[in-house]
Amino acid sequence: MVALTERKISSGPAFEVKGTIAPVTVLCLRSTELDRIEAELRARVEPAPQMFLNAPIVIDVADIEGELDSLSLPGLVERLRRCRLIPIGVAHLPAAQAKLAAEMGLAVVQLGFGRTRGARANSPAHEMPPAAAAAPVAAPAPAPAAAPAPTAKSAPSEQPATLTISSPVRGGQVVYANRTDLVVMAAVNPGAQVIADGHIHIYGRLMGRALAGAHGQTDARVFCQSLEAELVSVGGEFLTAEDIPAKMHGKPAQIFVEHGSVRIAPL
Amino acid sequence: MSKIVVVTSGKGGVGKTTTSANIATGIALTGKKTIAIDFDVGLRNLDLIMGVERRVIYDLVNVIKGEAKLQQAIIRDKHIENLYMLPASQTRDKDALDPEGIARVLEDLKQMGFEYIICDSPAGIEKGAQMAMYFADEAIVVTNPEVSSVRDSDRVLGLLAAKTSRAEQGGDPIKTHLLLTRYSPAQVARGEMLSVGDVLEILGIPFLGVIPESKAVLQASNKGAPVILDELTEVAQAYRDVVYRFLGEERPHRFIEQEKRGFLKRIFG
Repeated sequence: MVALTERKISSGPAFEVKGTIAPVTVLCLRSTELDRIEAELRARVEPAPQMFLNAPIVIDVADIEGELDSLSLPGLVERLRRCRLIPIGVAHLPAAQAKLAAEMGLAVVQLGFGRTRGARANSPAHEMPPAAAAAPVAAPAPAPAAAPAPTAKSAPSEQPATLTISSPVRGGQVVYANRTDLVVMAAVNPGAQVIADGHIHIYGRLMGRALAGAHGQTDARVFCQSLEAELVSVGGEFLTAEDIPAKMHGKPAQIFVEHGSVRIAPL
Repeated sequence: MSKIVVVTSGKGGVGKTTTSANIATGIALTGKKTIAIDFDVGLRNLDLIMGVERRVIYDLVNVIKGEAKLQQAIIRDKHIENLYMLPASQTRDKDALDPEGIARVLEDLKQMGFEYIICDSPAGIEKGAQMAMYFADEAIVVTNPEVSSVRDSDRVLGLLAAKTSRAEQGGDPIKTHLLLTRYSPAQVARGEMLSVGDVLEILGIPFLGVIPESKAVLQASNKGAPVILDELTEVAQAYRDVVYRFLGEERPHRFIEQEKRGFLKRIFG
């Protein structure tokens, strides 16, 4: 197969343009005080460095539209970089400031209408739930709030809620849901591996390996319709087939971490 | 319209070569111009099963390397009209296969009016097997009713969906078919062998049928005449059913259970 790839590279066009949808962490600002933002960011980022290290960040200013003048965008970018995050764009920025953002290397990003102003008005000064930020459906209640955002015109599918696989995951295949949940609507066959930073739901037999909370998130869980796994892991703690009690074998089950050890419970 | 069909399995000894010979023969018997290509470079076998081993002069690698013309390497079956085969090299190894060369050979075969090009894959998932499947339009996955064979077939199905021309160019995926060989209804009934249902549940692809375990296969191989020609045997009837199903006809499934009553309902109901 190597030869084929080389041939393609030497005789074809130099590149291909492709569209893609990738999960991004959105920082919904509720404050313009840089020190406060940085302090709270550190508290959030430092306990889970693998999760946030060099993570792409979109700054959403929808909720501080009125106080936008008091926000120093270059200052915020510098603070984010200090926390080892990589700001890539700004959402809900007035058109007049788009040029300033571009000069700082920030793109003006349109978010799906699930992430709009007021969606989390009661939250602290900032919020970055990695799974939820990638999930338009994670903000269910304020549907009417979708309309007012001038830049939020794009389709709701722009940020997929989870990675959904509808065909069997076969032996030798690896599926990884980066920063989100994974839903498999079929079997995970022996020798296959499914990995997610969030939860894993398998609506079929789990006969391969399933690793939830792959970056150490011990609050993640694995759910499956028939537990026949070779290995299950949550947040780095794992059980092999031998550790799974015979009475749970072939039963619907969930796997989670409690008091630092992996537990299996029937569904 | 030519169709390139790979007969593959991952695991060795499950009946790929037997199946290639019998499917190619069966399709040719329906009047379609058919060629079977042996991709098992270094372990030439298909010519033996098809009974043409004494007429091999040039082989697939000779053609790819430009040492012989395609017409010189193709062997025409003496008994069955429309049936041809292209043998593998016994002296080279699988590194002699390259995708450009294979693409050229397949294109020439299409130009020569072959309707079905059956590629007999070597075992394994290495280069030889990948070359055999790379240009396929359809795949017949040959599986025995036991766990290791099923697991290897599962792996191969993953490769068919990822490492083939159709997958890489983003075209329609390869059409896959499951063929369960060396099946023994008596052993299934005793719980010593996986049933059709067990295998289908894991692999989840369209089912061509079962080929019952039979001594006739070995005898036919030694004789160099594909077993499908031995019309009185169950195996021949099973292969004929499989050929018709592969060509799109509906045939009731046979040889799956010792007691035939109601078996369709149990499996498909």
